[in-house]
Amino acid sequence: MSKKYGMAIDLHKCVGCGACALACKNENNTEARSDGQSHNWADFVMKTEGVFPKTRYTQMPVLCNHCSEAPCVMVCPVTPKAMFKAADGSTLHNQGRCIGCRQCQDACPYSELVLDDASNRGENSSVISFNLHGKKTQSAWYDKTELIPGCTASAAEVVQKAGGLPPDVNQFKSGDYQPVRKAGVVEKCIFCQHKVANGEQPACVEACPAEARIFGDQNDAASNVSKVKAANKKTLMRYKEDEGTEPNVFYVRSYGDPTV
Amino acid sequence: MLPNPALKMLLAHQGLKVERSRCVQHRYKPTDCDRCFKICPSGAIRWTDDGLHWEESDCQRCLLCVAVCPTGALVARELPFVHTLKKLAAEDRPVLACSGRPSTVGHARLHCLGLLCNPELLLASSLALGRPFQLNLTECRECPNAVMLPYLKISAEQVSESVAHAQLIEQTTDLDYHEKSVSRREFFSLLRRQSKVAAHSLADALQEMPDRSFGDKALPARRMLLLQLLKRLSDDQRVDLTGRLFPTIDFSGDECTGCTGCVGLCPTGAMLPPAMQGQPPKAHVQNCTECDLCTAFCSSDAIRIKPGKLGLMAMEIISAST
Repeated sequence: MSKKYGMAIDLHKCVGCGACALACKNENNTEARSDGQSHNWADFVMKTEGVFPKTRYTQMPVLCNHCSEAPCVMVCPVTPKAMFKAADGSTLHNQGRCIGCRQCQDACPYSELVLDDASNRGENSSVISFNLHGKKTQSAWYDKTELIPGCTASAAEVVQKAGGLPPDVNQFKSGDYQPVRKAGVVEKCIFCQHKVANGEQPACVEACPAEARIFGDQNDAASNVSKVKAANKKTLMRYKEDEGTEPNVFYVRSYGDPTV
Repeated sequence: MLPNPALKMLLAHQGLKVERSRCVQHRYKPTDCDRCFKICPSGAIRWTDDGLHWEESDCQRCLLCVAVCPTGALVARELPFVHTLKKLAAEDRPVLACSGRPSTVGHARLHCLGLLCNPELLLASSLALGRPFQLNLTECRECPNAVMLPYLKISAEQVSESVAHAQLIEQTTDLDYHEKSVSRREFFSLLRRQSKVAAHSLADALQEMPDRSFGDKALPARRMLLLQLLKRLSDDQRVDLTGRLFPTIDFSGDECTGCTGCVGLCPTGAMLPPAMQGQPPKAHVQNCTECDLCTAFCSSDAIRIKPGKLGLMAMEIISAST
């Protein structure tokens, strides 16, 4: 039987420390937030309700749901599709074929074309980000201003000395994916295909100190993700379930509504 | 299998290169561009499960598909057209013939003159030569590629309104061909030059460029040629011609969401990203080949293209093919 990768996030264990998001940025060389694009393949949505002292705070990690019925793949107009389902169930992207029409961003119920300021407070997020046409990617690293003139190095100088863009670039090789994207293409979580193909776990899973993220093959009953799914059958949740996208990211929480 | 790689390269030279990343349908499947399928007389151009496909064994090499493709997705493996023009420019009464009928006379040869069914290329030739030139069609009627004749006539008619120069010669008696008499010395230097060109083209073919990625922007060769030739005109002529040849592109400011999808869709770089995010893109009309990808794509119907002379001329050929 072919593989069907999936992830379970145990919200009993997740404290919202953000290690997953940082590990992801580091692993996949994603840019800093700019122009309404978060470039956060692993992100959070957050909600604060009520009036002190009766308040309630919910934080939920979000990432590409690698949907079985992926709207991003359906709308991709390119032949062969730039956004496509791989044999292992993950949703992957080919930047050589991507023309940057952004229809995937528009169609994905978990993505926004442009994020507003509310996204800084975690009110919304976008799992697909776009590298603007005609704008250099990793543009922050071209900045020549020194924070303390004559004392600290500028971003551009760091790049020059380190010889990478970004300076700490992680040069991975992963099928269709390049470690740093070019202008005019979209980008999103690829379930760390470059690590998983070598028998490793995705970076966010490795980084989680609480082991709240469980990744594996859903078609293998002995895999950790299958076990977690089976053990929490009744309370298992998926984000925006009613959109009919059949996400392959599952949330575990036995009380209240975990989704923000 | 051919035993000799050089021979194989020479033969490959007569075929087509399919650049799928340029193809309108490959870039945006919902579009209904079917210009090449419709005009192909032998069904050699098809849409298969893999996409745009050229079936070599069915192809008659009439180059009509190359002539009608708006984006340069189908490219004839020939020497760059500039070489042909250079040869013709050296003659007082230039005659262009085809290599499909080697018995015909001419100062330069294309594989088939069907390539000139593209009015833009014919216009560029007229501009480059700046004097009348003859197309030797005296044996076309006996050729399977005779299907291209009516299109070539339309093409020449269209261009004659702007810069009359191409003469379609169908009767041998009408042909005004003078072979240059060459001395012994000239003959050998000519031979040396020609061999050099052939060697260069073979070398180019051997290290063929890899396929472009879909995100790259590229103009069809004929448009690059035309733009270069326009630069050589006097200011008045240039302004007059560019005003008429190219389309006008307007964005309805209210309807454009500033998504820049059209910037990505455009294969030729006619849409440039706006200076400020959220604004409509900037149009670079000289790069627009009127493939209509952007208008088909824009869901808010914000792009208005008023065809230019080049687009209108191309439409004449396309409507004749239905």
